[in-house]
Amino acid sequence: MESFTLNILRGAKAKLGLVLAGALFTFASQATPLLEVNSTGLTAGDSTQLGRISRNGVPSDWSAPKLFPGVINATTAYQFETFSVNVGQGVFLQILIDSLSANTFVSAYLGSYNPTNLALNYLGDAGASGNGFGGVDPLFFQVQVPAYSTLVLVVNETTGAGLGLLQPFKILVEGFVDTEFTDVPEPGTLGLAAFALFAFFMVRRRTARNAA
Amino acid sequence: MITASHLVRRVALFVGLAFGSFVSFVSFAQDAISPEAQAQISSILKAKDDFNAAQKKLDSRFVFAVKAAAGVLDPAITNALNSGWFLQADATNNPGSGAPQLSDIAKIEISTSDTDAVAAAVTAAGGQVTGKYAEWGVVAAEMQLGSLESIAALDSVQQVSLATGFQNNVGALTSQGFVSHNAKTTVQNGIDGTGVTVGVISDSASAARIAALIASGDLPPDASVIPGQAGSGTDEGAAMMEIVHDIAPGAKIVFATALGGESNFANNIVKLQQAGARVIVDDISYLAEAAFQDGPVARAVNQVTAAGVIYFSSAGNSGNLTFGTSGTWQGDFSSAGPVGAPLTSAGATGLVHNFGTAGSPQAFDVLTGVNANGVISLKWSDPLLGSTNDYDLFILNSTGTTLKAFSAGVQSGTQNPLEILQYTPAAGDRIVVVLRNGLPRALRLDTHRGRLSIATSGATFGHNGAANTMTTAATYWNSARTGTKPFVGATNPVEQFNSDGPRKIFFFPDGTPITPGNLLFATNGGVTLVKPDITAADGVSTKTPGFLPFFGTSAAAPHAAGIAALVLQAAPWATVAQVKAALRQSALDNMAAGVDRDSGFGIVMATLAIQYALTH
Repeated sequence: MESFTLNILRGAKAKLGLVLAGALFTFASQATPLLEVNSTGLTAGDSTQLGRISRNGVPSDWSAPKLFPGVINATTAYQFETFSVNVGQGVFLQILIDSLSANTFVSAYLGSYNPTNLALNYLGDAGASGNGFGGVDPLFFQVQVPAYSTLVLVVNETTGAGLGLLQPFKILVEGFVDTEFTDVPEPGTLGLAAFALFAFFMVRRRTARNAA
Repeated sequence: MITASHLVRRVALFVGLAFGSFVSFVSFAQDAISPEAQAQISSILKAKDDFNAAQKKLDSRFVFAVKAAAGVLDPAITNALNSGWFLQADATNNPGSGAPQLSDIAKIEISTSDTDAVAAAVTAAGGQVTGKYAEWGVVAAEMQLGSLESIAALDSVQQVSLATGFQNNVGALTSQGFVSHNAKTTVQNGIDGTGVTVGVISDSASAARIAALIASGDLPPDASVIPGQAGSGTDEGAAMMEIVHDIAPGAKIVFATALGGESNFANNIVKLQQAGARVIVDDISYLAEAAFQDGPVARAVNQVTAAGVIYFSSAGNSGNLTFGTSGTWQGDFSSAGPVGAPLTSAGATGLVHNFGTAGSPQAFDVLTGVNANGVISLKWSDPLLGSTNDYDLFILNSTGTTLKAFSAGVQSGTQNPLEILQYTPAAGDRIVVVLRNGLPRALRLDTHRGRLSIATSGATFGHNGAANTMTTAATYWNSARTGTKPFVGATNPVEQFNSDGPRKIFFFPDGTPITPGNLLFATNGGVTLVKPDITAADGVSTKTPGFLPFFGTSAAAPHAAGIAALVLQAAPWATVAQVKAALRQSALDNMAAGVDRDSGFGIVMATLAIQYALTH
């Protein structure tokens, strides 16, 4: 955590407010992820679906919903696994995928996933597989959902020949209240914010009273 | 100043090197290059002896192309000329003929002391002037191949070179760097860059894209472009502007293109400063920019820095030694012996450079990673428009039996120390450097995003690595794999494609040597610049199509520029030196401990930089 105090050399009262504000925002910058997955990979025994989403190279983002990219290889069976989480107040979701495999793919759905209808409840996807630049930089994509809804992530194999099995992957889901990565305030932080505002208000009132 | 005794010692050293190398290495040098390739190289080197005065000032590819058009050039050498890369077929050409035609169009840059006269001559010869830059002594033009020599023959012309290309190093959406660099905290505390103008230079920022980004809130309402300088291309400039706006949402942002050659690039740097920019950032590298001296762009950076501008540039995405991705070789010329018997029998001389060691010599370097642009350049420690040492560059196939490409210009005192070629590369290609005439110099071989079997550090060059530039490396915003959190330093390595430093300079901007008589690495000539300076985020979200995510040092530099704008608002009295010190000294150390060739001082953080500026 990086502490931050902005030393403005004028206005002690403003300084107090800024210090507290700095503390407030410092605390708020360390939100807990909504979901963390650390998997050894898909297995042959996982559920299967016929067909898979087409990878069009474009990750979904918050600026606009991504159009469903379509299904390819509709008669090929692919293993898949799902992970679900209630998003709470974090409606702007960022899904981070750390995987060296070019043979697994991640997509997101709202509420539920129907392996016989891949377009139903589709939210978005990573657009591509495998970390970028020689396996170094994890992928990410973004979707927007209603508050307190359920996010369903689907990880599917992409070759139909099992080449994507036993390929380890990690997934991290972050939830924000806006597109500027503002974290959902935690209860403790909300209390601190309330105190900060109260303290600042009291200082102002005291000053006004003294001036009267 | 070089005295007579110095000269005698130098000649003796050169002869000794040449003879000793010949005795020790001649058989090795011959084994590395087939007799057929030797004969072709010999033919090229011998042909240079017959260049007239005008041809010596002309890029040698044009001279050989004229010979090919006349049907007097060996077909194998015509093939190795790769003229399709530098000539545009005229509409009257017989399509598919393959060989150059005198009516083919060449894009050129003419270095001259009389831009008005040369421009008039170009027009009179049927060419088109595309730019005239009196302050830089350059006329840019498009002319037919057959007319080039007449321009080169003008007394006021110093050289006629091929206009080379460049590389650019990538509201509704916000860059993750907003959090990674702790700019979010700063902005929420009321410091958002208000009152500061940031200039952005890249390939393009179209009016339509800027309007769309303003409408979506991803650019400020007053974002603008220098009139007529929007450029054309991928709108990468717009993506850079978005990043600046994300970091410093209160800053004013103005764009100008770097297209149109180094001189137009330099002009636009000055125009942005004149438009009020106190921070300027670019992500362009012109491939022919000088290695060991400030060229026009770097001189423009010097000019605006003196006027109070903090200048940022991308370090480059050409790899580094630390991660084994380097496509750069820098070092002093060392002879591996003459090219071989066919060369000496033809009366021509030339020494092949030894890329290996004395104990394990190798007369070529190997292209192990293909560079998609197909450009390879050789530069050496002679002054711009004053090179007197003639080096040449040859590309052979992987077995050394076939000449694939070459650049063999004449350097006789008025030319730049540069050989540059473009061809279709293949992994395994061999790169041969020949000293045709002259003295050993510090060399720089650059594959421009390829990889070499024998490589060094020092990938960043040109204005990107200039003394007055804040050269910016890149680290992925999620390099620690912990999500959207502020950088911490130790767990945030630079990208593996990041261009490393350091940067060596042997000449002042005016061409006078910094260490007269000492122009080699081995004897610690010149000065060594610590480069890069700082590191910033890449791989971030932008709304500009094609830049989601936006990777590269092209994305990193605008993050750093935005932070500088925040510092300037918080500390408006700060000088250029003070702002740079704040960014450097407060940076989070990453990569090797302390200042290193990959990340510089480390990762810039908005809050820490502001604190430093306010307390120092």
